[in-house]
Amino acid sequence: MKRLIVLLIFIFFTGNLFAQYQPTNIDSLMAVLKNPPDDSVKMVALFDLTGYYVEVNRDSCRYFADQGISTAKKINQPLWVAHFLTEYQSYLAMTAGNFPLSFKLVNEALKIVQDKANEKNVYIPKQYEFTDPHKFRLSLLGYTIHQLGNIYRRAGNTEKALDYYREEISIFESLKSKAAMALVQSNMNVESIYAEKNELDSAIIYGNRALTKSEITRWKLYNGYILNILGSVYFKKNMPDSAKYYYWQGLMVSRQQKNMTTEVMVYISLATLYRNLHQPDSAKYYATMALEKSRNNELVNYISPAAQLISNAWKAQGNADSAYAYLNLSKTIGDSLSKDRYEKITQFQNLNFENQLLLEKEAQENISYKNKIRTIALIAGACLLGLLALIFYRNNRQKQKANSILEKTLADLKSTQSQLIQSEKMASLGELTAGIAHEIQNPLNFVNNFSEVNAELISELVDEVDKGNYDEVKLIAKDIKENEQKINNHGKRADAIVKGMLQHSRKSTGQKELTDINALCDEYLRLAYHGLRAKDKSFNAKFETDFDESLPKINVVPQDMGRVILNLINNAFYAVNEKANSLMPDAESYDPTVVVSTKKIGDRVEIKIKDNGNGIPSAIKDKIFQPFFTTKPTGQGTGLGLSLSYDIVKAHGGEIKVETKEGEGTEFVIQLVV
Amino acid sequence: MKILVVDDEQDIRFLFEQKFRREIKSGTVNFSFAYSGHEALEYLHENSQKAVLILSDINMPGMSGLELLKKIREEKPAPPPVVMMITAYGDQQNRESAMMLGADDFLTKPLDFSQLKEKLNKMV
Repeated sequence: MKRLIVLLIFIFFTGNLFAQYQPTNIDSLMAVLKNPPDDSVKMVALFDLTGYYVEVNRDSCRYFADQGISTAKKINQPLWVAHFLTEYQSYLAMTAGNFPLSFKLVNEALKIVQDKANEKNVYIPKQYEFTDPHKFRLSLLGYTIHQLGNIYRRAGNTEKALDYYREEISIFESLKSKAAMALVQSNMNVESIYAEKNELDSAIIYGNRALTKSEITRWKLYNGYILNILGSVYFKKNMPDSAKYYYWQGLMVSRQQKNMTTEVMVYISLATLYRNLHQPDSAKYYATMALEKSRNNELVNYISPAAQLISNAWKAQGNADSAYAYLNLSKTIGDSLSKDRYEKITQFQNLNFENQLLLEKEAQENISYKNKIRTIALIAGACLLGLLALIFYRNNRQKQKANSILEKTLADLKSTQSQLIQSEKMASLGELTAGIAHEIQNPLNFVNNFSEVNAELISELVDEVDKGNYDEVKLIAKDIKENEQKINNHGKRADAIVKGMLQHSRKSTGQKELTDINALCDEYLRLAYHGLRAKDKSFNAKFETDFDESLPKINVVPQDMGRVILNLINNAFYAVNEKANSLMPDAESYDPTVVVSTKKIGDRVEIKIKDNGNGIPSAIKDKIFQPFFTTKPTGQGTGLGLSLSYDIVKAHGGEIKVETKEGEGTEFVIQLVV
Repeated sequence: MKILVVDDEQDIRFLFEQKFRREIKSGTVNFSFAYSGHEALEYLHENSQKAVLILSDINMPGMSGLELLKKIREEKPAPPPVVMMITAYGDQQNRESAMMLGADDFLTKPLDFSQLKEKLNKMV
């Protein structure tokens, strides 16, 4: 019978808060375990053993729980698996502060006990209060929900905890349980929560209910706790005498039941009460008791508040040193505890019970669906990958194609550019040909005619010699000599023109030579002028030169610099011609003039080409040196003249500037270093 | 016969003086020279003894030979001088322009003096 009672105690133990068992029955339990009549008995013995070790040795507890679960699984007792999970596995995790694991385990148990199918063939020891499988299962449901309430309570969610506890109470009430310790516990827990929430009257009601249930079920193990809470409720109600009464009752019951935890709790309550009653000696006494008991029994949660209370008492008595020492102890232990607790609670709060259930349900239902989806996704992924690879490949191909097209275009552009530069050169040469023809014909005219004259003069000379008219002979000889000189001069002139023309058309040697800038300007001015005159009979303009005779020869590439000068002169003539053509017949007389001048300024040679044309509009002034910019009608200008001129002058380390006034004319100034 | 030669090439004077040294000596021809269109016009305005023949180059700076021809034809000096234009070889365009403006004849560079002398003889 005694063993039966012990078994009962174990069976209905829910593992909460402060279970304590006498070790007297362990031997008989071990004996059963060593030689069990069958696995069912072994399973129940394991359950009881686990219950014994829960507050004695956690490792043993865990060991027996694991054995129990595997035995329950072996003989196909899912409800017992759930029972182990709720009462031990989840509880152990909870007390270790691992709320997420505890929550997970109790949910596993919940799923099992909610399934009516698990009632089938369930093994129920005859001594149990509920031998009916359905009632048995419902009682397990009650315990499971109780454990859920415990987790929420420990994690600080008292509202949810209350809900679970109330649900649990209603389950056990409907079962009309007379033995369920859970009824005492749940009422006690509800009492405790209401006390914390300062709903003091409700707390008193549930506290008294818990006491009543403990009488009915004869479970008085928690009475110390229930009474302690009732005391603290009266303490809060500012009724210290009633509080003191309940605390004393609680202390006595705790000592009777050898419930160390509730005893320590009551000590702390009393110390707090006396502190508030300004009786530091009594406060110190009970706090010291609490500290010693909790230290001896490793009830770490109570060390810090006990030390705090002792510190307060010492402080009240003016002993700062002792106050400080206990405060330090309190803080050190308190900090380490609260840190650990905070971390674990945070983990738990990240979980949501309902969501978790829903997700798990969905997870099971959808497992095949997910597999299907996974397969489809895999195929789709592979297809996508293939598609992407194809796209990348195509892109790459297109890029390569584009690259080769770009390279070809670049090559084409380069060749076009050099062609354009050449055509610009030839265009300016074309403008020159007529001038060159004229310029060559003139000296040729003299060479031919003077040589003819000389031939005539020589025959005359012979005649005069025959006549002995020596004065006349001398005169004729003098003329011949002069003519000969002229022939020579004009021959050289033609030679220079041809050389100049060749120089212009020839590719630049790129070699700098000492060059007479005045001569260069004069030559190209004439060529340009006559070229334009030859091309356009209506063209008429004046040109003037103002050359600085002291100008030194400077090192330039003559072909290049000549092209610059020619270009600027051509432009100047073009400008004055445009203006002349645009003038109304009755307009004021306009004298189209181009002036080319040179000057030495310090270490620089300045070449100015000035016209009195229409000037350059300010809107396009900045663009004139840009390649391909031209104001000339299509086909008449390459737009490269000034751009090339700019490049050439820059390459010589010189500068080219333009000064212009709309309607008045333009002046290009080139400065070259001597 | 008074002849005005218009050319910007100053050596033209020596050439004509050499080529026509006999005619000049004999006084059959009398040459005057102008080195631009403007100078030619000035000469024509200033000298009461008008030139019978004007030989003019076309490509000259300032006033071109064609402009001079135009002016002469506009001013209509009496008696109207014979104007011969000296053109570059193959310069068909200028020839046509000169014809339109009332040129009497052409000479092509390089000048063929025997040809010129023939023409002068015909005129005399």
